[in-house]
Amino acid sequence: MAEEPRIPPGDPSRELCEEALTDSERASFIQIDADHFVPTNDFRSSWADDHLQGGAIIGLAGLALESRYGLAEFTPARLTVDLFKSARLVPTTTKVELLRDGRRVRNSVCTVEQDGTAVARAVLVQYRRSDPPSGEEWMSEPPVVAPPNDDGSFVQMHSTDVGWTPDISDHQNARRKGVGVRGVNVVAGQQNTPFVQAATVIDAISLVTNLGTAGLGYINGDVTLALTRLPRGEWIFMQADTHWASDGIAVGTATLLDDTGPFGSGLVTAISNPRAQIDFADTPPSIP
Amino acid sequence: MNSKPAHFLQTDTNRFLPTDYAEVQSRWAKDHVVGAAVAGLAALTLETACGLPDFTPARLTVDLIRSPRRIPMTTAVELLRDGSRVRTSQCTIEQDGVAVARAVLVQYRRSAAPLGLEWTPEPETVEAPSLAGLSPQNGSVRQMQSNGRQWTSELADHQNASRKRVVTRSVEVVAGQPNTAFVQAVTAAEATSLVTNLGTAGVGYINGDLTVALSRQPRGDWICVRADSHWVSDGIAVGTATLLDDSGAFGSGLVTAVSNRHAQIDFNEAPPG
Repeated sequence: MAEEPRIPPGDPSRELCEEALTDSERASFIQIDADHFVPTNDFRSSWADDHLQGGAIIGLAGLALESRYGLAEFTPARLTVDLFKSARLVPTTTKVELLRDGRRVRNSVCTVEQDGTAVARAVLVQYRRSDPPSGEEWMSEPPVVAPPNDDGSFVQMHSTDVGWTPDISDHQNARRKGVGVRGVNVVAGQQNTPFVQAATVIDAISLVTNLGTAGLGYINGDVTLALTRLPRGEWIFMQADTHWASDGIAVGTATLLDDTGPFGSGLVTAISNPRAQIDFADTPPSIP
Repeated sequence: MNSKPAHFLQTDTNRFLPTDYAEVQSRWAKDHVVGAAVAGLAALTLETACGLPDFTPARLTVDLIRSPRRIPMTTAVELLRDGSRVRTSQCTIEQDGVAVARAVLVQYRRSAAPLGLEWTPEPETVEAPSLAGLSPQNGSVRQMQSNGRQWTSELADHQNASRKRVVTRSVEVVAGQPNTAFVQAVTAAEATSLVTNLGTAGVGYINGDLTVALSRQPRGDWICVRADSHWVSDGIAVGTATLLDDSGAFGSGLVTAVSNRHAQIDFNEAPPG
């Protein structure tokens, strides 16, 4: 892992971005004991002030599952998180269960609770690393990612003809997008593992596939993170691959890359949320 | 007596007996049930128990926990979230009291699109080959195409390292119950593993899961699954595919898979029996 302290990612508001730059020590949660976490109030959602960002809850589920059931010879190959309710800035509990303790496959589940109610449920699939099978398969052409300017920002977007900028409102267009995110520590005082890093940033797949000319009008009910290997380095990039929408329901997929190339794919489903559309040209984010 | 091929005979409300059509037709495993049958049974069970007319089944994730065998399966359903716009439910499929698969269904209420326009890939149409007169193989009638090769029903014709797509029409999941559009989409999307993992030496990865995401239900009587991405490291593969019908793309499939080099399926070799 990179040695530098993480700069908080996630909340796309520029205001929070500037705050974040003044304090790179902050994290999403303070850990009270093995299963109890208190949000730090540092990272609020763009949708509502008293809500935690999705990335914090997804990262917490990933951390709880990896720390309890991760094994050295296994790779965490898929994390699917169903986001049941908007998580609030209140104490948060994780409950984990091992569903399958196989020789080559390990499945586990984590429920994230607040006030006794499940706010998210995550399934982790781990595979034992091994030699590839015989033969060669088709491989997709890896997207070329020119790294963004290292201007200290924690999230940068890219769209065709615009290039990389840290300002999301620059990309409110109907062109294909990429996003680069630096991880934020889930738990204060604990450097994210590469897997937790990937989990904390995967929520940006909704941004990279659903951001349009009027901002972000879809809210995601889930994320799926699929990895062939752990990411390396500080930045994780996502390039939108597909976006299909009908009847206010959107499905998006993206390729996940680090400085050395692709390491997996993400998938998100989302629902139209017109009453709380986030127009990044407004500052701070407007909540009607 | 229904003469159409089907994966299961329903013997009780939540009890299903696999038929010959559900059995894996390969040397990979004798007596095992195809993934499409298990995924289809989970889809049918969840849609029947928890589906609502104003909602679209937007994501089904099936975790294949153990190799399913040709013995009765029982299903148990739990509604995890009964929201005004989002409904989440879970199905566990058991054999001999042991879970062999677990599936989560996310349904969203249909509504007006948000403001503005988003990027979407160029629309494309598929000139689907005829499926008339073909027999089901591993649970579906299908034809495959790879770059430089025509549509054929022989998978051995496509053991190459080029991009693939497959057009399928699945057999009924439960005898006497025509597949719903959703069940049809899920059973077809199981080919995401085939189109992304079939290589020069056959299929050497076995998928441990299947994720199907739909913006709408498919129309018509065939579904095309086209490989979009395939990444591998350390014997672990991730594949994504676009799902299309005769009016265009309607969703995506995603699989993760693990190297199974000791039981690689080479379609040039005849299946047992």
